[in-house]
Amino acid sequence: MRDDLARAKRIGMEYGFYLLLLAIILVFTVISNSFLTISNWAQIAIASTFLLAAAAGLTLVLINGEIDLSIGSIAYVAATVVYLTADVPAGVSVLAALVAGLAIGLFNGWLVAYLGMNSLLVTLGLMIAYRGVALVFTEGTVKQAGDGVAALGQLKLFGIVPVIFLVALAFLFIFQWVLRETKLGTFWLAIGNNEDSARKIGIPVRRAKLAAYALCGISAAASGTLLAAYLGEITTFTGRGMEFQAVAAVVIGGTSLFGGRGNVFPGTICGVLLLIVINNGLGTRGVSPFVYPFVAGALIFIAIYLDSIKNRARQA
Amino acid sequence: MSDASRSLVTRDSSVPRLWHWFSARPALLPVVLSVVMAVIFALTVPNFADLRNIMNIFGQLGFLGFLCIGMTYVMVAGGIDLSSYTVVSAAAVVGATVMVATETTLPGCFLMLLIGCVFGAINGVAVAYLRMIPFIVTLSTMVVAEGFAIWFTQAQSVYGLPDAFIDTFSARVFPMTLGITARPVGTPVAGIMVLMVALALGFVLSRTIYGRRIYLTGANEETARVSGIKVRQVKFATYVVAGAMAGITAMILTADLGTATTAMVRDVRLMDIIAATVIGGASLRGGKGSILGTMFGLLFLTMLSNAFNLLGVSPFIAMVIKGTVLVAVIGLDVLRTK
Amino acid sequence: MTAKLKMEGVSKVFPGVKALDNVSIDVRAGEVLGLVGVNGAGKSTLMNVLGGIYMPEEGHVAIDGRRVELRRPADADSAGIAFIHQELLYFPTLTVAENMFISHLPSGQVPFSVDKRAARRRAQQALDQLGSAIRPSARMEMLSVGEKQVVEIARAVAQGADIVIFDEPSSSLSIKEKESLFAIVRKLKAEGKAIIYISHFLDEIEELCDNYAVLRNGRLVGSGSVAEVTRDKIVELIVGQVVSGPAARQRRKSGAPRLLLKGIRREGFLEGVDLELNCGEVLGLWGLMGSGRTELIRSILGLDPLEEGSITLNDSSGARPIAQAELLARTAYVTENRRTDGLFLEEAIWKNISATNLEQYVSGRMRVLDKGVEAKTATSMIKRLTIRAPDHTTRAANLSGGNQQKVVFAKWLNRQPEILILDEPTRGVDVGAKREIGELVESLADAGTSVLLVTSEIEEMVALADRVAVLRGGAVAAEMQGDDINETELMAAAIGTGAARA
Repeated sequence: MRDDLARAKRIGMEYGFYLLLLAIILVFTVISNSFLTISNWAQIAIASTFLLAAAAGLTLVLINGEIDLSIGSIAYVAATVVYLTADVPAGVSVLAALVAGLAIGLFNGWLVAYLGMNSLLVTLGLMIAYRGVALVFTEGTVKQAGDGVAALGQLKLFGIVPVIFLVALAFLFIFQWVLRETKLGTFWLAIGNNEDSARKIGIPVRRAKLAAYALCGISAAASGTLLAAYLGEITTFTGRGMEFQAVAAVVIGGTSLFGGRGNVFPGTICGVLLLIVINNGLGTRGVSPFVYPFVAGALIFIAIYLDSIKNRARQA
Repeated sequence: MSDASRSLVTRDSSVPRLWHWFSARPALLPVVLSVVMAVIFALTVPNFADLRNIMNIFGQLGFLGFLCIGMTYVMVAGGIDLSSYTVVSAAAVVGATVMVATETTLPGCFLMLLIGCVFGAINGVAVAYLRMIPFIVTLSTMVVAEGFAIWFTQAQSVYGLPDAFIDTFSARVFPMTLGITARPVGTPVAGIMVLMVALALGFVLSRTIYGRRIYLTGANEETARVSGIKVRQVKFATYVVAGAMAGITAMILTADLGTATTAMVRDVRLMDIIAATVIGGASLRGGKGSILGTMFGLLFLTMLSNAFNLLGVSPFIAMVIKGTVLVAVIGLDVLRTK
Repeated sequence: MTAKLKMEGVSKVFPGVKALDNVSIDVRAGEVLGLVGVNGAGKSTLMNVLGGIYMPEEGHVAIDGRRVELRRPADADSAGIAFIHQELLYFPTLTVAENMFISHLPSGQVPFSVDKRAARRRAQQALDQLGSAIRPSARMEMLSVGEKQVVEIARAVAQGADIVIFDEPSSSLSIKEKESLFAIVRKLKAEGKAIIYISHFLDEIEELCDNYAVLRNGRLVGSGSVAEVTRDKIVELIVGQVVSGPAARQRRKSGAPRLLLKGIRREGFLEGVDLELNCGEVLGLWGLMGSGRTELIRSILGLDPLEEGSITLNDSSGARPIAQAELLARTAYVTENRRTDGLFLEEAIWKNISATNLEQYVSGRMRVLDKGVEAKTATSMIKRLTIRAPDHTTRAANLSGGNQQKVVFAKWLNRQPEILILDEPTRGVDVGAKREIGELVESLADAGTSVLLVTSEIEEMVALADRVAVLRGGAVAAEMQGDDINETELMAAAIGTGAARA
């Protein structure tokens, strides 16, 4: 009997969050006529695109038991690269932005994995430094993206599904594949479980972490590039506060801050959706937009409380 | 390494003595940095050594100084507090609203302090009693506090504060010339307040039994617990102190700006707060740091900003430099502990 | 038929100790060798030689008659030697199959990918071979301790190890799990693996092993066929000739009762412990790992949960129930592991010593600490306990194990406690410091302190304890007094039935 109870509790902890998401969608559907409409969901898709792209890579870093707070600034740097390359073909421009993200990610990973710096503090410092670098180039003003890139941002599949959303999804699925189906992914999970044991057993810990940061850099850069493409311009708000939103979404999606536990799909996707859907749903109901931060804060709080319970055994 | 194979006392003689001496005194780094910077800026930056500018710097210490003191308490005990800067807004808007409504100063000030402490207590309960991770707990309080401020004011600024309040906290007292200026320059109350609080809380942290308990809790929570220190109470208390500091900051900033807004402290300032504390010798692992170090860390960063301002350096380049300074200091900390 | 594994004339010296002295053992394929001896007899050193962790000064290892060089753990791996450790090394959130093949995952067809199906299949094969019903896709954290151990064994099997070493594998298993462990060991034996089985339980040795080897003080003192030896003989070999001295010493008469424990219970660890600690005595708490010794202490001091039971303290104001927190405040507790909860490693000696007694240094309404008095206390403690350190400002981390332990003692003596609880007080401590610590404990007990001593070292227990309570399966199974406290009796009491936990 006790085992059954424990089992039910475990299942509840594991899947309860997905049920919550479903319930919230249901409630909004019932109380709001404009919630479950194609145009509203197209809006939700657009709104979640940029956070999805950034959270995908951050999930990998968190699974390693590390963190990257510079992702918002990486996004802005990438968007700035899009501006600086406005005159070249769109493909080259996008590629340049992603390469910039990769380079920054590698640098972050090198500092954390090879020099052993604390990831929280070091990426907090870099968050400021990278944004400063980008601001020097944009002079703190709004800049235009190239016409080619801006056109890409408006592409729609079947006239309804935004391509940028599909690009973000592609990142999520690729990362999920890397996480679940490759050696690298297994190494990440092992490192997040217990870095010392991983090292003892012969896992290339430093290289694996470096790879996670590199992918995180690319994914953050993708987020900034997609935003630049969608807006057709680069605003100084690109990526502002994104690091905290992304951390929240990833953790709500069940990825542990203790490392070693979590997934991109469905976890992180649902975490992002939950935040966006609540924001959107409250909007369609005409609820004061000022309520949203409360709800979001409470959700994060509950999510991390559950996380700390799940990992209590490992903490001790 | 087995205990048996170890000599009685290991002391690596290949490391220079000076380095040893230096790394055993982490508060020295920010002091030396500040002094060197002050001398360099005084010689190269026009108007830097002007008494009026010096007083400005002194007054600016009051804007972030309290938050830095709170952060030092929390970090010495082994935690971190990301929420304090938005708690300032939450406390400010409520306190200011009450001041406007009652046209008196005291109840509003008291409320600011109280709201700061409440948010601190929430953090403290979650970290100390529910055993949640400080970083993410305070991250969510940060979001909630900001949301609270926006909701409370419907995103409007609060105007019409009593003059008595503004005059008290943004006043300048003790005009002096020190023989270097023609016209006497007043000393900002904000600077005096932060100096006094720093002295008091610095004294508590470094000299009293309460402070020692905080250090020991941060140094090794388990050992402290077995030694009979009530580590949960200690950790809880540090967050409440941080909250109270946010409350005081709310008073000073509200008076300085003449209004309470939903973004009293900009988010990039969070980095300054943490940077000052870390430059001052604190470590995320806890058990290290001091108010003296932190205040000089803050002085260093404030002088840097001030000098850049005077030189007309782009604020963006200033961001790059500050971020790099923080990374360098963390790198130094890695070297120091190796 | 040549031996599968042969260790010949192996010697290993650590500074000041000859850990292994000319030890030779051999194991044939399809044979189980039981390796026994008290803690510190040299078993783990011997196995660390096999594991490539220590290089012996003399002697060599041969497999299938060919000499092998074991310089690092990887060499042992490729030589086909696998260890089943007492503390399992695993990743809780990974699956069984992933845990088994983490260091050589099979590659899939798509570049970079892992052939998970192949991994699961191979894991299934290995598990089937052991007759286990564990699913390869199950997550490790969902398994019981016994099941985790089976996975570890399956890993060894899957990697083709043909020499398997079990290091006290049964100490944390339930009876049922133990039976399935035995079945697996027999299966491995039938498949022709050479097995070394380390255990404290003689009945396990009798049941499982073909041969035995007894180590004492780093020397092989006896070996042969299990069929031709009695249990008493093995106990005698383990303990050795009782030299005159400690055993014949005068035991203290127990004074007035000081601490009374009744029905202390904590789910899964303690099943109702009754204990009485008196003034001016050393009460030994004896039992194997997992018998609940440390758990008992942590529970009554409020460091771990306590579900049921009463604690009564008898002091000048009479007998009364006492809260755990108050007991903690009045007790000196030398913990099992000084690095994790005994010391502030990064802090100076003086701060370590004053930590337990800060109130004593406080003056004035501001509650200021007097660092001068703190330093003075530390300096006098350094002198009293002959702590070898340049001065009181030395960081604890820079001291040797023995001196670190003395600092731990100093910090507790500073409190002038009525009750002193010692958990493995001389672990990782050199011989000189060990003797000094022993003398210190004696003098404290003479002065009226109540000492509760937990130790795994049999000589220490015999030398120091006035009374012994034997803990088994979370309850007091027996009590010994006076001359009953000798090595043979203690050994017998601990290994007795072999059922550590029901």
